[in-house]
Amino acid sequence: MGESKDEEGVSVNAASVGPAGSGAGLSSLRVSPKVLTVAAVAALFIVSLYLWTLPFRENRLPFGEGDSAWHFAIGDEISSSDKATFRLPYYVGVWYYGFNRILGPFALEYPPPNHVNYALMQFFGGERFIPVFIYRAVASFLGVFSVFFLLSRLFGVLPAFIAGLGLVFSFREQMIFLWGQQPTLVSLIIMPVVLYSWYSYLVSYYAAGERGERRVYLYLAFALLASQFMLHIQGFLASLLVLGIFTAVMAAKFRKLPVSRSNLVPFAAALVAFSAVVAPFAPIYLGAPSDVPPVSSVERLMQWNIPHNLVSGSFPEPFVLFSHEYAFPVRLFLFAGILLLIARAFLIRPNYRELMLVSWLAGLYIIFHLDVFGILDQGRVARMQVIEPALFFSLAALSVVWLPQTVSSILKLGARFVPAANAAKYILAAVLVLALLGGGWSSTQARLKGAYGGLERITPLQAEFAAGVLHSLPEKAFIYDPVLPNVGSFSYTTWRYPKMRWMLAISQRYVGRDFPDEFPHKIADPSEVYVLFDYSDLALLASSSDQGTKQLGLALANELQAVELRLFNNSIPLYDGNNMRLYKYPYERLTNSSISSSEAASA
Amino acid sequence: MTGIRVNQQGVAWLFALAAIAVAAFALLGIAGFRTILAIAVLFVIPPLLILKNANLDIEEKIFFSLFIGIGMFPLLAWAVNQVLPSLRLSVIAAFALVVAGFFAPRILRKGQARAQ
Repeated sequence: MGESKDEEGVSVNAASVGPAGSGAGLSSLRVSPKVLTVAAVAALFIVSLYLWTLPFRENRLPFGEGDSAWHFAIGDEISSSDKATFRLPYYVGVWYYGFNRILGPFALEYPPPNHVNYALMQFFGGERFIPVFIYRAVASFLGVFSVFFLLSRLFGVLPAFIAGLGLVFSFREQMIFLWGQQPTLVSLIIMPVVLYSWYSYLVSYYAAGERGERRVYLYLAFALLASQFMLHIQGFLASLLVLGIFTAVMAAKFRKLPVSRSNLVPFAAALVAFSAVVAPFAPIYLGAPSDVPPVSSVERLMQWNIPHNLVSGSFPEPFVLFSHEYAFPVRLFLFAGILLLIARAFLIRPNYRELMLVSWLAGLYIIFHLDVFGILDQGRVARMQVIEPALFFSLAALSVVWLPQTVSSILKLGARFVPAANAAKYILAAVLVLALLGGGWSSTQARLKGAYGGLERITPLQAEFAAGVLHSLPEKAFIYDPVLPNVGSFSYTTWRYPKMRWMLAISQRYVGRDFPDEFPHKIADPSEVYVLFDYSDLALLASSSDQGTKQLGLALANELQAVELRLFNNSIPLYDGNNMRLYKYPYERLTNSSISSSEAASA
Repeated sequence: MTGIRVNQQGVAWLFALAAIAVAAFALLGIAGFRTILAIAVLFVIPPLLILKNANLDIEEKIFFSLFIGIGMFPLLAWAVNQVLPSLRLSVIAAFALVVAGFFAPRILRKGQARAQ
C-alpha cells in the first residue's frame, strides 16, 4: 500500500519528491494548506516567544551557568571592540584551557558565528543583554520549526503542528537553554532540516523517474551541514551519522551507491565548497585538548537513556528521566508511533519517509551509546539526549495520522469510512494536544518564570559593581573570588560560580576562584592581582526572617571574613562599599608564594 | 525592488513576520522588536536572495534560508571583518555583497541589452 502526504485515509501511490504536494487533509474546510502552514508557524513562534522569554522579561539581568557567561563574554567583547578576531581576550582565554595545540595560545574555542551573532544582536537590538537573550531563546526554540518543516513537508501540517507544540514544552531543550549551552542546541536542532534536504535529494536521485535528480537539495544539505559545523561541531557530527545511516539504507534498498557518474561532479563540487568553508576552522576542534573518555559497561547497550547515577554530578535527575520529558499520555502515542513506524517501514511502498525516520532512530541509539565505545564521555552523551525530543515528539504526532490510516488499510475499509477515519484522526490529535498542553504549559511557565530567581542570578548591585569598579581595573587584571567550604549541605562554591562568572563577563576582567599563588601561569601581570570579598548576597541572607537562611548567611559571612582577615588584616581596601571590598593582592606575597589556598580558605 | 514579484504566499509570510514582530514588541519592548527584525533580515534575506531563482517553493526557501543564514551570514561578516577594521561596517558590507550578487546579473543583462 503506497500512501501520500495527504492524510485523507485514502491510499494513493506517490513518492514524495521535491516541493510539497496537496497538503494536509483539511480540503473539506477549504483552508489553503499554505495559509495554514504560515498561521501555524506564526502561532507556534509567538507562543514560544512568550514562554521562552519569561526568564528575562521581568528581571532583565543576565542568567545561566558558567557556559552562559563564557559565550556571552566573547560576543560582548566582539561587540564592544567592534572587531571579531581569531584570538580570545585575556580574561576569557584563561578561563578554560587557553591553549590550542595547532593554533597556539588564546585561540578561539569555537568557530566565530555564534559569538558574532551575539554581537550582531547587540548592534541591532540596541542593548547589551536583552537582544542577546532574545537571540538565545529564539535559537534554542528553533527546533520547534525545524521539526515543523520536516513533518509539514512530508506528512502534513497537523502532525507538524503537534510535534512542534511538544517541543515548545521540551524540558531538556529548556534546561540546555537556561544553562546557557545554546550554541550546542542551535546546531543540534538543525538536524531535521538537513534530513529533509538530504532525503529529498536521495529520493530524487534513486526514485524520481521522469522528474529527475533534484541537485538543489544536494547543495542545500551541504550548506546546512556547514552551518551546523560553524555553530557547533556536535550538531554536524550527529547529522552526519544519521545521514550516513539513511544513505546506507537507501543504497542497500536500490542496490546503487549514492554517487555515480551522473552526479559525481556536483557531489564533488558540493564537497569541495563545504571543505573550503569549514577547513580553516577545523583546527579549532582538532587542536583542542581532549582526554580519552572512559569506556562504559556494555550493559549500557540495554539502556536507551544514560542513567542518572553516571552523570549525577553534572545533570539533575529529571534531565535524563524519560518519564519527565514525556508525560504518560504522550508516552502512549510515542510507543504507538514507534510500533507503527516499524510496521510501515516493512509494509508500505514506497517507504522512503519511514526509512528516513528509522535511520534517525538508529542514529540516536548509536549517539546515546558512544560512551560504550569510548568516543564520548558520559556527560556529553547525557547532553546529546537533547536531540531525542525532536524525533520522539514527531513519532507521537505521526501516530495520530498513522493509526487511523493503518487500521483502515488492515481492515480494508472502503471510501465510505474515510470520514470516520478523518474524525478519528482529529479526535486523537485533540487528545494529544490536550495532553501536551495539560502537562506542558503550566510546568513550562513555572520553570521558565522561576529560573534563576532571587539571589541565584547576579544582582543589580553586583552587575553595577562589575560594570563600574571591576571594569575600571587594567585589562589584564586577575581578580580572585575566594572559595569557601560547604555549610551543611549548602555548597557556596556551586551557588556562587555562575554569579562570579557573570561578574567576569560584565566587567570584561578575569574573575575566578584560582588562588593566585597556585595558578601563577594564569596571571598576565603580577602587579595587577586583586581579591574580591562580596558580602552583598550574604548580608541579604543574614537579614532573612527565615532562621535557617539567616544562620546560613551568617555562617558564610563568618567564613568569608576569616579569609579576609587572614589575607588582608589591617590593609586598606581599594574599594569598600555596598558590602563589597576589593583589595590589591601584594606583589611580594605573590612572588614569595608563602600562603597556600587551603590556609587562605580556612576559618 | 526590480524583478521581485510578491506573491500571495510571500505576503502571508510577511504578515506572519509582522505579527511576530508586534508580539516581540508587546513582550519585550523596542529591543524585542528590533532583535526579531534583525534575525529575519540578517539570517533569512541573504540566503533567500541566493535561493530566489532556485526551483523551490517559498516555504522551503524561507526555512532553508533561516537555518543556513544563522550559521553562514555571521561567518561572511567575520570574514569581511578580517579585511575591514569595523565589524559593524563589515556586516553592512557583507549584506551589500549578497544584495549586489543578486542584482549584478540583472544589471549586467540590462547593460548588455542597452549596448546592443
